[in-house]
Amino acid sequence: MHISEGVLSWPVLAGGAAIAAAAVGVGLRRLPDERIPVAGLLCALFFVAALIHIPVGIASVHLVLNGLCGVLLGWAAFPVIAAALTLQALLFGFGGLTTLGVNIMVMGVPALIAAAAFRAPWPRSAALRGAVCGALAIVCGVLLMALALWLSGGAAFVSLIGMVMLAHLPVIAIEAAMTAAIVGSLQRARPALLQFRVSA
Amino acid sequence: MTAAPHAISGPALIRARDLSFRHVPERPLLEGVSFDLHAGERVGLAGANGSGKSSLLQLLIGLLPPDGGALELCGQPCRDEADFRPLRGRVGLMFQDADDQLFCPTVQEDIAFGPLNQGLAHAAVRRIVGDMLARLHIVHLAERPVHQLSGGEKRLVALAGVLAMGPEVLLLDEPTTGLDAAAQEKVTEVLLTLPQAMLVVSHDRDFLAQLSTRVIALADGRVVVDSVRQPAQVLSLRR
Amino acid sequence: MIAIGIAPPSLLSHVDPRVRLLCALFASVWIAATPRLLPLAALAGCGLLLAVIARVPARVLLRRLFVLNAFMALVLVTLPLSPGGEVLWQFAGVGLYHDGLMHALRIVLAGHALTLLFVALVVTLEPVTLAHALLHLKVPDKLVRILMFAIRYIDVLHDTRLRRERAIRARGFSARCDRHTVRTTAHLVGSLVGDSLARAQRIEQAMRARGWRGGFPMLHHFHLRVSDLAFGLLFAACLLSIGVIA
Repeated sequence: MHISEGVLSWPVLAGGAAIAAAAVGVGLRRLPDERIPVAGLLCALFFVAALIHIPVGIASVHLVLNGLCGVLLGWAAFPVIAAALTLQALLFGFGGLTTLGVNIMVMGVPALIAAAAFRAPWPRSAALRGAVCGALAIVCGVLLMALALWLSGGAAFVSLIGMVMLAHLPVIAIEAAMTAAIVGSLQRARPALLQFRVSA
Repeated sequence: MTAAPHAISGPALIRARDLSFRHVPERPLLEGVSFDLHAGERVGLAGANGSGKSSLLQLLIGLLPPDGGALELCGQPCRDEADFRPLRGRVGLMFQDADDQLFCPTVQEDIAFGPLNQGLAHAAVRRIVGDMLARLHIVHLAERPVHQLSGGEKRLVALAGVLAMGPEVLLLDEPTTGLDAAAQEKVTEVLLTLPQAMLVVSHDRDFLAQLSTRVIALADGRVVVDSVRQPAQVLSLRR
Repeated sequence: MIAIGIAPPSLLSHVDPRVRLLCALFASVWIAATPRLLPLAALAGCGLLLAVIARVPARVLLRRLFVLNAFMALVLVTLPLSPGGEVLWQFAGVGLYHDGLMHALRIVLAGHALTLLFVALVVTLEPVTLAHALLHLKVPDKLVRILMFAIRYIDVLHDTRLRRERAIRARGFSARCDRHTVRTTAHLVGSLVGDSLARAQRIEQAMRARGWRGGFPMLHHFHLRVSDLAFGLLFAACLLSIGVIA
């Protein structure tokens, strides 16, 4: 889930970079020094998880898990996502230098929303809340992508936005199912992890 | 349990008395463990899987809090983090999985990490790093990213990182486990040349027989053997 | 192992990584702010030239461009069909419009210029070197440390993942789009989450065992040479002249 280089207008890129820098700054301030290894390892984890594909029809969808990232990391999700996106840009060419800020927001803001949703009292079952987080994180991410595209190109981008949304429909379903199952798995095997908060 | 039955001159580097520890309240892992470690000794620590050997090493350096008992390192009583802190480095712990220990991106940075924590100047740190690389014959690895090293190389770099702090005691957690014969031999060779007192956890009887001057065996959380007899004999008795 | 540090030694590997990063950043801002097609095409050409000088393997370059063009295809299909400006061509109610076509071309050229320059100047850096360069460019210490931890442990985690997947397959599993696949993959990811947190805890203990009290010391230093400045100036001059001439 990222926006390619070259598509967005410079005010959107600059605005995204500035807000992302501030959000990463807040995340770093809330991350105590001794939690840096945890943040780094979870960054490696989300990078590796993004290599896992689930077959959908004749194609396949790779995991995003930014909802889970928010649930485990809270505000620290921003610096972790920033590092993971940097590595994805370096190693795979997903996004690049100019879009880094916008892409951090596209992944990070939904992570934070998912973190809040996970702490909601309803639904009672952790797995169901996981499903909500997984779906919500992708829906919010796609809406932010749409917003960035709309601000850059206006009406000209309408059909592009439509196609981007369409392409993410299977991702929403897979992320909901996977986040629910992962949360359920953690709940049973390592319940303490879900209470664990990386950032203050 | 009492301390080692034999007398060795010089002060004890480690003096453990009645140490106990439990991960879960109902099941004690260590119960009344007492022993001394003196300069010049290389003590093998044997025991079944889950007998608390690794936990004991971590207790000895204050990474886990004991549930009871007393501990002296280098003649200083150690109760809390503030007591242990200045002694880290004088008592060096090498972890079972080198990947846990080698977190820096390159070999020389990792070796430099301990000395930099000790507050040494950069020039001194560079000298120490050079010395350690030369001493363990791994100069060619200096610039290599850690994640590209082989298992044996990682073990030697981890050892270099501990030795770089100038320890008087080494706590080694299965230093040869998982290595091929050649790498095992290399690590053993290096350990035999070191002057430091050692407490070495291993399941490898031959390795312990070759290295240690004394053997302590743990079972059910207690010291069941503490003997300076030929380690090979002791270990075969315990079969 | 995940390919880290892809390029063989080249002329570009002698240039100070900080200078390369700054050049890439400067060029990116410039490209993002330029609406005209000709300078963008020229810069895409420069990017390709630099990628050749940096000896980026063709396989890597093609892969990057493939990833980029998967998205560019969407742009090329949708934008020229959006009404606006002069109608260039019309058939069965579908029109090809001038504004949309220009916009699409701009996006395609800018995307290629940005990607090629990024690959040539930044991707060819060893990630460890890049992380050190970021530290020296005053990127927040904690952020770079997170990056460094990730670089260090991606392979460890990836190997674990592959080993578990092999074990899962050895017991007759094959991935489909069903509940069982989701549950199995979730257990795999869950076990990796547990692993990473447990390992992080052991790493922190190992760091404390070596006297760590927070903060990270820095050992590496870069030295700026005349040739580095020369490269930076040459690069800036290229950008400016493209801007003026084209």
